[in-house]
Amino acid sequence: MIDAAINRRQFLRLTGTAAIACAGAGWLSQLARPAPAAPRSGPGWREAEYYYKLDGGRIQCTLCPCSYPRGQLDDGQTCVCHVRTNVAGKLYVTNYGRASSLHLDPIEKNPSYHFLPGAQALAVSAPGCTLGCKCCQNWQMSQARTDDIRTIDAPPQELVRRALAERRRAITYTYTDAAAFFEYARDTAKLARSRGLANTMVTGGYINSEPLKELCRYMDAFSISVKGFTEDYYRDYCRGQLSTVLEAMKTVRAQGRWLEVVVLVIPTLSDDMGKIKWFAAWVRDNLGLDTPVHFSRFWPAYLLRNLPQTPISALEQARAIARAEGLRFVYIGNLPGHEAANTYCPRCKKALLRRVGFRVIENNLIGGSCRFCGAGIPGRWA
Amino acid sequence: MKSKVVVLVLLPCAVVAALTAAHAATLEPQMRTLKSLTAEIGTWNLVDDLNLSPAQMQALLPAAREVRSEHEAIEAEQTRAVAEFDRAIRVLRQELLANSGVSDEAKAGVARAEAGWKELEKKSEERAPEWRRVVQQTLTPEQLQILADYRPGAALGRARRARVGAPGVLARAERLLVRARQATPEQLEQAPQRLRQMLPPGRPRIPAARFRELAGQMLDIVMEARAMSDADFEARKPELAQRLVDLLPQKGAPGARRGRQSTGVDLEKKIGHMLLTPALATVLEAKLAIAQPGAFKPPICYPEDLASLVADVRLLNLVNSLYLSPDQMKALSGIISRAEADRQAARPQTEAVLEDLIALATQVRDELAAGGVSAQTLERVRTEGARGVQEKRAHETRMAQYVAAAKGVLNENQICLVSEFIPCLIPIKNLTNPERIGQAQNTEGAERMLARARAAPEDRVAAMMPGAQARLEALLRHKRLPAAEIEARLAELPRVVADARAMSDAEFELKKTELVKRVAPPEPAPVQGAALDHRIAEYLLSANLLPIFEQRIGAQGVASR
Repeated sequence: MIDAAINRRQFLRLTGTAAIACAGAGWLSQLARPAPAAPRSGPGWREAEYYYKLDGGRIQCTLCPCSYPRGQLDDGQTCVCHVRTNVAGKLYVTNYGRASSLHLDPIEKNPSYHFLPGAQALAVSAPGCTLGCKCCQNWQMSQARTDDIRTIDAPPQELVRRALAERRRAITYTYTDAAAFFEYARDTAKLARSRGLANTMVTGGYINSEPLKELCRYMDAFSISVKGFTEDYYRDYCRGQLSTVLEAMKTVRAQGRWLEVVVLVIPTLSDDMGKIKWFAAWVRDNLGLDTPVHFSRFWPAYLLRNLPQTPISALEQARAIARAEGLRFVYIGNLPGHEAANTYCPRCKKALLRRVGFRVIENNLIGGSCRFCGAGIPGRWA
Repeated sequence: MKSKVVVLVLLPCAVVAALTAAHAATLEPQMRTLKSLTAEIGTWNLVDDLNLSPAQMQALLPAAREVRSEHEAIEAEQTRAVAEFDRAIRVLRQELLANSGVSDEAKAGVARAEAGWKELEKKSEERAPEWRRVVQQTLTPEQLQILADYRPGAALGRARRARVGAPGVLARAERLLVRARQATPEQLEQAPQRLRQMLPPGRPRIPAARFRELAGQMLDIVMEARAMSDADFEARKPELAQRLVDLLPQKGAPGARRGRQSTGVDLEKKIGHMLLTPALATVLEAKLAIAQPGAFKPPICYPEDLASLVADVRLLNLVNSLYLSPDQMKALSGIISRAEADRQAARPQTEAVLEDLIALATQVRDELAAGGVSAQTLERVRTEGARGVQEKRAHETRMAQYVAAAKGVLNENQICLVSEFIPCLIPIKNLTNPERIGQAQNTEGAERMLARARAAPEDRVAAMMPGAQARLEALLRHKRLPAAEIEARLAELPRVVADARAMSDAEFELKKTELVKRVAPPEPAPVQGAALDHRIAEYLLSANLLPIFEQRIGAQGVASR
């Protein structure tokens, strides 16, 4: 029982004093506690490639044109990709040999529609991503540090051994961006290639030219995902730059690797048909008429759950525009059963590869040519 | 006995035939009455078959009355559960109509309502073991054997078994050969299914691999018949037919699998589903000549309006996964309108058949209660049964043209999706595997359980095992797997867990789906042929699609303007 009531002024004074005292005590305890030592090793830790040292223990990462203060990391700092850390002037990756998921997937899931159709691949991912897309479907893995999520110990030798044991024809680096696990993907791809396996990479294309060229030495096919058509969009929604992605596509093409372009059509953000037209023309002029383009349906996820799914009509319209620009292989993705998932012969217009979901239910290609009219279809078919 | 065989066989046949024909004509009240009457007649027949003594009937009566009163009590609670389910399903239906994904709230609502419904079903099963024990203690071993062997279609099997290899089968084989000679190559592709239908019920079941081999040999005979001149064929027809029939494996022949044996699980199920029905008390009271027998109530099931809502939700799940274009929707609307007009025109006829069947079933039930079915009634059962079958065939013939037209509107990818569709309430949105969108089953939950089992210590896993087996058994029973398969999968579960625990992380990650499939109920195979046509008729010729298509075509028109 309180003997005497206090007035409002006294109450405010008392609570204010108490709050200041608490805050002060917290601050003092922080000062007293020694700074936590950055972990310098652990499963998945390994010195990174593509960086150089700056003054004062700082380092400059050159894997991607990172938006973190120009890719410069102080001692103890981890980059926004979540997996590259500066420890005492050395850059470490934390996800080497640490798979965040391992699946046996059809290659159509990449999507790779002109590359070994119907082949089964061992799909692997590791934590982290060079981009920070607000629409990410796998954000639990891509926007996490290696220690924050469950990972599987799967060094490159183990992946290749598993792929061979499961009689897979390829290894796919997917789900998160393989650029963020560059060293792991590169070493695995190198070993896989020596054992006769193909390598395919699913990426946002946010990687500098030099490391990308190195990846191109071992990768056979790329699926590069374009999230929007303006620099503003990439800055605001992906923490990246469009120019780097466009450059990456040109690099892959110049290196002679098979490339398929995936365009995510997000209602109100990347569904402007004028910009889609511009992009289709860009693909035609820079990558060629035969580059497959997939317009992919957006499903609300991560930080864009407020937006609806892409209307089918928008996807169909985008496809029509791209075809009108001269592109010969334009697909609609994330709509299992839609006819635009089929590959049609550009000459006789007949269905060559009929797909439902990720399955090829009909294959009318003979040695990479249309069985009806004999027209050659670009891609790697066997 | 003969009269019972006829009642057992013909009346349900007529009911099924009429129900199938009437399904699209939305004659739910009549169908419901007919179903409950048939169920009651089934109880009457089973009690007759068991030949219970008065003492046994007296012993069973208290349990039977408890079943009835429990059923009535649950029915009261059912009203509340139905209301909740109804609300949840309506919300879900609205969202599916808008075709913009299912919200978490709607999913949670349906899950809650389903849980409430399951709770009710569980409650209705609470005292079931006790009642089953009473039955098992009261019936003699011979009576229990009759019950174990009892199958609603068993009488049909008994009646036909004597005819295996007899002229009837030969005549069917001859007719099949005649038809095969006239068939187009496309029709001939369906020959294996037709051949399977030709197998008489008395024959042992044939494993799939052996059947493929047999079908190949049968097809050779068919091709031989097709290559003959008319005169040659007429002369050699009996010989070819005999060769066809000879290919059917004899009982006990190597490679022939024995039919399913009744197990303890089966017997328990039969006691629960066939004998301990709410109608049993009424039957026993009538047989014991107890004044004022209680009224019969049908068993718990979805009320019809809720059932139609559930059917609507399933329909929307299928339609939403087909991504029909406006042109396709317009074309389908035209076909559905014509089919609906046809159904409406046939409705009075179907209604009349159903009304007659209800009157007949009531009469059969009353005569059974009075001591036996008269010869005149049996004759009427025969004729009405034939009429029901005729009505069903006429309905199927009418619908066939619309099914063909609907198939013509869909592209091959969409037909593939229809054939693989697994009806469900909440479609699983799984972007890591979009093939599963709109489908009922996936293995993620079970994979998570296996992952937990891998991480748990040995003694904890052993402690978890009975619970896991109980859950698995409930799931397998829900999926109506045969008892032998349920037992095999339950026995496999500890091996699966042991294998999962022995695997490396990477190996488990790659093989977890395979591991789960070793114990999970098998996914239904895609439907083909007549079953696919039936599915198209049921879903894509539904009149409920008309307003949905109208609204969607209108919305797309506005959007494009």
